[in-house]
Amino acid sequence: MKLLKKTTQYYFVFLILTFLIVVITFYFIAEYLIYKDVESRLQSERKYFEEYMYVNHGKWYDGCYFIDNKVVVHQVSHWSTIAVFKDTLLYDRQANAKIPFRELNFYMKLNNQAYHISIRKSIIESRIMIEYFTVIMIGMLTILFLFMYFFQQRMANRIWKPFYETLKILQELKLNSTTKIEWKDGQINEFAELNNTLNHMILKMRSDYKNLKEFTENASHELQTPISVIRVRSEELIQSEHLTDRQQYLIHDIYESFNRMSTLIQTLLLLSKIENRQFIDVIEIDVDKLITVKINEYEEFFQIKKINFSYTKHQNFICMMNPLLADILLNNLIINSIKHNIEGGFVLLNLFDDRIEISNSGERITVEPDVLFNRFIKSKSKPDSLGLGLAIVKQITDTYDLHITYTYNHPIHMICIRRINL
Amino acid sequence: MKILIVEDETGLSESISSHLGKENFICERAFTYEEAYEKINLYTYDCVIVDINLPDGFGFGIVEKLKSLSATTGIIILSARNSIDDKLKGLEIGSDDYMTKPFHLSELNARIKSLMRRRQFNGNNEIIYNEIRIIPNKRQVLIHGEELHLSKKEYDLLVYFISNKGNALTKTSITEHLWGDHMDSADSLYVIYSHIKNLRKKLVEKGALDYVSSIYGIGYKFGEK
Repeated sequence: MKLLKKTTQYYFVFLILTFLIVVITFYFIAEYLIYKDVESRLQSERKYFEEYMYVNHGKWYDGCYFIDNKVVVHQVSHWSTIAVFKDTLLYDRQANAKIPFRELNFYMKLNNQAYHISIRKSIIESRIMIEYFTVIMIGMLTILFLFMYFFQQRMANRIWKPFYETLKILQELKLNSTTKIEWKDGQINEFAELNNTLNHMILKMRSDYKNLKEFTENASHELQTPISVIRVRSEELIQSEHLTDRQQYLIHDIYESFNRMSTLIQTLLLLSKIENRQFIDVIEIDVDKLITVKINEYEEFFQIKKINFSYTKHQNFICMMNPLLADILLNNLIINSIKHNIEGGFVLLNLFDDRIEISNSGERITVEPDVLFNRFIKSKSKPDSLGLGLAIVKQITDTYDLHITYTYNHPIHMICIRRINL
Repeated sequence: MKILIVEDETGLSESISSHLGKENFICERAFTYEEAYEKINLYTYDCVIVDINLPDGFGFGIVEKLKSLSATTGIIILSARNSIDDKLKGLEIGSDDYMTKPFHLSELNARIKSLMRRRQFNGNNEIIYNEIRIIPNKRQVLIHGEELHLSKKEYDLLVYFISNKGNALTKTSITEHLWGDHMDSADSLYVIYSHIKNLRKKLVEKGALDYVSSIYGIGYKFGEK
């Protein structure tokens, strides 16, 4: 969820809760105040009533008050000092409906006679007042909260703007570029600090990347000269006549080991170059076309090992890749399928628009399928192999967001390279 | 035929020069950019082998200068830079071929000869070795005037052999010549063996002598025994 959306969400929940609390509290406080007011007026009316009763010796007429049932007096046999307030609904002639009253009930003794007295006051007007106030209150609060909400939105957008700018810079960051990054520092210290820290990190990363790249470049470049000298010199030595068999054998052994070393260095450098993403140029690769070229190249290998090769193009697989790496990828896959095949076996290559499947017959592999794509994994029957072919394939697929899987279903080995659906 | 070798590594330069010397090329050596620049201004060469990384400059400059001086000189760039960019740049500014270090002397020799053939006789030059006659333009092989049908790889192999006649060719160099350097040599030995077997059989069947001999553990040699 986006940062702004999340804050808005929290803000909204908070506003609604506050709103409810404020409105409800207001309602109860207003009600309490009104009751208090009515009750204090009832108390003072009680005093006036008692005064009146003493003066008039207990003579009271219901008709004295022109509003119905304003004061009700009953003669009762028992007497008590209890005085209570209660709510009651009484019929009103004018309104032709029952309306709410507040009632004070108390007893009084006059000339040895006990009376129960109820004094009432209508609270309908006050109730209506509360309702009006509540509605006005809700309206005001809604307007206030809407303003606050829009203000918060605008403010959040403005405050987080540098953050989004920084994020965008990071997303578009290229390690191999040396262009200076244009940080947009706003007035917020924290963001300026963040940008500053990131800038340091990026500079460090760039310099590390550059060092690593230089190391691989130097290694691949500077090593080639001595390697060339050794190779050329040993070839010269091989050409020389009058060598004893033993000498010839020794020279050849040196030459062969040296060639292996040279290939090993080349291959490892290739791996780290791929890993460092130093193959920057990408073009659209027509895999079908490339496969056709490769098949021509390796035709004799199939023939000599009597391997039945069949290629089916269901759909074409087109992807953006470095041409050299695409070439190496298919090369290694095909060579692998030949190398680990059996005489008279088969290779099936299937091309779909989302995957390349290559399966071949072969003996049970002696390594765990999980580590098959690791470096220096070689079959026991092929000790001369460098064991880097599939590691390179894996490295290339990783670089281009392709997913590689190996499955073995006796006697078929299958490698599938699939596009990752993003 | 005169060849200039522009290479700062003395060992390498000496080996190339002595190997090519055996092929009756007259070799001169330059070790710096300065020296090479002076030499190409003073003399004409049939072929110049240029290393890109020289202590006092990049070999590209020499290639450009050569192009402006004489169009007939064959140029082969020799570089440790195994990058496509350099290769493209080298070919763009007019070099005829590009080889990356480490290379095989026999490969360099074959490339120079092929280049010389293309240069000097517009590619019409034939390769003649005793009864074997090769017409490179048509990729045609004649034995005693009679056509011999060879597969693409067998043909390449025969040309490679004749270009390096009398020299021992290691299996690695043959593999690299036929398939480039991506091939794991362990896999290709059997294939080379079978190609050579077929080539020898075809040559002998047409009445040529069996010129190919194998050198135990090392590789093969083409030439009269």
